[in-house]
Amino acid sequence: MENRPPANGQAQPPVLLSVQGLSLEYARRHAFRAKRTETHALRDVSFDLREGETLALVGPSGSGKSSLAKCLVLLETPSTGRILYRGTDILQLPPEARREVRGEMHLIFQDASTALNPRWTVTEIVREPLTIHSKGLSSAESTRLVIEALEQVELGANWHARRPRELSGGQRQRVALARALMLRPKLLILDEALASLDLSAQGQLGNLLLELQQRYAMSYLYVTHDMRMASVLAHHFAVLDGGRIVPRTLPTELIAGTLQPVS
Amino acid sequence: MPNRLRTVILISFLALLHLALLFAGFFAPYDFAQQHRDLPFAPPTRLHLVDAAGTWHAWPFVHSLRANVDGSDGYTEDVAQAYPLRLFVRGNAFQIVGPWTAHVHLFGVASPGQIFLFGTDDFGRDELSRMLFGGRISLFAGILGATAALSVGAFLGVLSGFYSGWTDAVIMRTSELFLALPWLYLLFAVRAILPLRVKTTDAFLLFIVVVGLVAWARPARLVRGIVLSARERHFALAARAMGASNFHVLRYHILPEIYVLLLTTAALLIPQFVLAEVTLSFLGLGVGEPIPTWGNLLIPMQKYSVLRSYWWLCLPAFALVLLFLAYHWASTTLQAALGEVRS
Amino acid sequence: MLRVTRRFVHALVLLLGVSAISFALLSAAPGNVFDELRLNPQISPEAVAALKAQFGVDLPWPTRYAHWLASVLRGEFGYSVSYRCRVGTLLWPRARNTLLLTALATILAWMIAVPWGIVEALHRGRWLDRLGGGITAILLAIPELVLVLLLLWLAARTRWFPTGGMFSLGSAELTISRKAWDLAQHLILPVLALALGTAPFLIRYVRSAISAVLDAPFLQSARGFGIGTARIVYRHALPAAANSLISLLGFSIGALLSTSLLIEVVLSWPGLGPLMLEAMLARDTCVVMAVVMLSAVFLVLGNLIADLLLYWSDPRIRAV
Ligand SMILES: Nc1ncnc2c1ncn2[C@@H]1O[C@H](COP(=O)(O)OP(=O)(O)OP(=O)(O)O)[C@@H](O)[C@H]1O
Ligand SMILES: [Mg+2]
Repeated sequence: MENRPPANGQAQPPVLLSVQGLSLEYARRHAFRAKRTETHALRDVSFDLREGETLALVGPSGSGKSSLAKCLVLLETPSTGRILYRGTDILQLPPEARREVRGEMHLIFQDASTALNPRWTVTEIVREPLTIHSKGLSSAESTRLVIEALEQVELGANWHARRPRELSGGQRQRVALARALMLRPKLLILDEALASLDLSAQGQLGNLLLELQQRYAMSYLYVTHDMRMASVLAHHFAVLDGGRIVPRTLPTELIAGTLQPVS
Repeated sequence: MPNRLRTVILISFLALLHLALLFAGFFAPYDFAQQHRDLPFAPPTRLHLVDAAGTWHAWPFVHSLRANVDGSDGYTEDVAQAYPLRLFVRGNAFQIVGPWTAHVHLFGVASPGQIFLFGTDDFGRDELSRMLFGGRISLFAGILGATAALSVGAFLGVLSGFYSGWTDAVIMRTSELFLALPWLYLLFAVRAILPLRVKTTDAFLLFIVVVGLVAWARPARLVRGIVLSARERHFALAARAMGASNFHVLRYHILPEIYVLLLTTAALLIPQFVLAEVTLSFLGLGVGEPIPTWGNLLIPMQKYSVLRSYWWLCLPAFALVLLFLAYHWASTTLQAALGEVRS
Repeated sequence: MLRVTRRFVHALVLLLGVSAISFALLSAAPGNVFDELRLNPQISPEAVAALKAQFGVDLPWPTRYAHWLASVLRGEFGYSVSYRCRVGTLLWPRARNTLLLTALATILAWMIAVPWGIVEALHRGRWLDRLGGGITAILLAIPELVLVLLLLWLAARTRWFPTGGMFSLGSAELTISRKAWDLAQHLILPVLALALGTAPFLIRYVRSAISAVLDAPFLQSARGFGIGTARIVYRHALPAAANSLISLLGFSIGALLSTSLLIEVVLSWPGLGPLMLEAMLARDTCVVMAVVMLSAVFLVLGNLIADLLLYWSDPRIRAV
């Protein structure tokens, strides 16, 4: 389902991420029973994402969107299927190589209030990716990068020493975004990352995402409920329902962005 | 009372108690083994401000004691002799830490006067000095035991919570074995394994460390619970997703959660191990005469004559209760603070 | 039903594990009963050697453990060299006495704790609660050893009740009813000490359990309908708090057993405590082992019973 024109005019950019036949079950074991109950969160999910393009993933609540996102950053282990990143199956990688790959992709969690360590200040949170991938930067250099990233998401200097508890939901979301941008990832997975922002902030950050995509040829997997935002950002759509990608044509009014939300 | 004031009082009280016990030699006027054979069971020495002639003095003084002339038990004060209380007096040498010794005591009186603020025992040894020196051993036992239990417990708890799977299963099943014994039976069982006769205080403290090592199960389970929940927090997952190593996640996102727990648990465990020392020494399985501990200082309280006539020999029991009260208070304050931080 | 069987099997495996570990460790302990016997000039070295051979002390510990297990199954728990009889015959009367003490103390402690805890919960924040809280805080801070010494002092001063033992001297000739009266008098001090040692802990727990239920929305609305306090407590709050209280029952048994050990020794109550102490001093491993195992059995059984009670009282758990 095409929406935005292809990123580089006519020539197809190379595939960055290819998901093939992914299935995931959550098993719950009972204290005094041998039987286990299983939730099939993903069933045989396949799709491709090309460099510099955005795939919008929509679907009802509980359809497995967050589960898919977690699989991609290796926080859940799928039972079957492959996740090819630049052609190599990252599920099979040895730990050291996994670390490398994880530096190139980033997941922004659905709920920013829990994704930030409450004991840390904004600066410390945003600096964490640099610490993890110890880039050999001087502390002045890394501080400059942190400030730059925070400026990008429009968080001024007076917010830097605060802790997540003292920020609004939207501000937390920006901090999460700033942290995501630190390592200049090739693939950014946004799990309803803009959902808690007001419209103008959504617009701003949407523009920022578009601009970054232009400049660094980043790819986005954009999980959302908001069709209008998706129609602006995304090149492709995929609809997830009950853990499956369903072939469904979206109403054209929606894609064109003319459908007004019911108020 | 405002909360802050209460905390200040609590902290200064605890600090004072610990300092007094740690530097027992300085606060105690006599050595714990120094006997005054002519003054067994002397009652607490009274501090006077008014002398026999009825004149007031600005500084307290004491009289020396003489056995009753009529041959009955007890002592009378020899009002002809007055010895003013002196601060920072030179007395017996005592050990501060390791090889360092000192001579200066906080207070005392010029000889041949004597000052027993808490009376003397059957050998005429100063009860206050014995309580201070004894408390030092008991408190050391408490701290050593709690440290041993907490460090092993924290290590195994983190291991168990962080690496789920068979590591977790093995550690948790083992902890159940250790929890299947009531605490004092466990203490006795461990004591039964070790040599019966204790030669030195150090050897005994080593015992307490062994007991501490055996008491790891409960702290381990508490720590495991915290680690399990911290591990699944989204910020820990986020760090993992960014490629953080196990060490990074542990160091920055999980361990800070357990420090406070360790502190509150320590406030509960230290009295428990003080009690372990007290119980063992009370039953003759710990440190024995002439070295005092709060455990063997309680032994005379089993005697009817002591309970009836020499009430000052019951003071160690009150010291014990005081220490316990302070630690209980500390643990509730810590827990309340923890609750505030959480919410 | 499956759950019940599983819990039983689990408890059995647990006890087996405890016994194996304690047996291995106690066998490794320095010195044994024969070393103590050797010091006795009345016993010839040959006799000691013969005894050693008879009891197989030089066999490896797994073999001895197997022998011991077999003996446990026969109810003998091995042979006590210092008492010169089967440990089983030694154990049962002692166990009965300890159980008598702990059972009575449990009942008394709960009889104090439940009403007190409820009253505190109902008067939360008011002076009655503060007073009660202060008393429990102080009682909680007094170690049982000091508590029993204080009671001993009281008994010595007032001579209201005997200060030790289980029966008075010469009580063997008394009639049954007089004997029971004598026993009751001897029970007062240890039971009181045990109950007072445990009650403050229970009071705190009852108070917080009941408070939590009283704050629950369903009871808030019940109050809104004007239902009386007594009715709320007995019909709603107590049943709702029952779960956590039952779990506490299992837990409190462990605490009571520990305290009872100490109190029995101080008051020379002929229970498991003094037996264990004597056996330890005589290095009579079989007796120590048997007492340790028995305490584990009591604790595990207590938890098992609490678990089954919970299962029986809470339909939610049964449904799983
Ligand atoms: N940790 C888990 N354990 C067990 N089941 C889970 C777990 N996480 C999610 N599930 C189940 O997997 C299914 C998919 O959940 P997921 O969180 O992926 O939905 P979602 O599409 O992100 O929904 P939403 O739009 O509400 O965020 C749901 O049925 C959910 O109950
Ligand atoms: Mg989701």
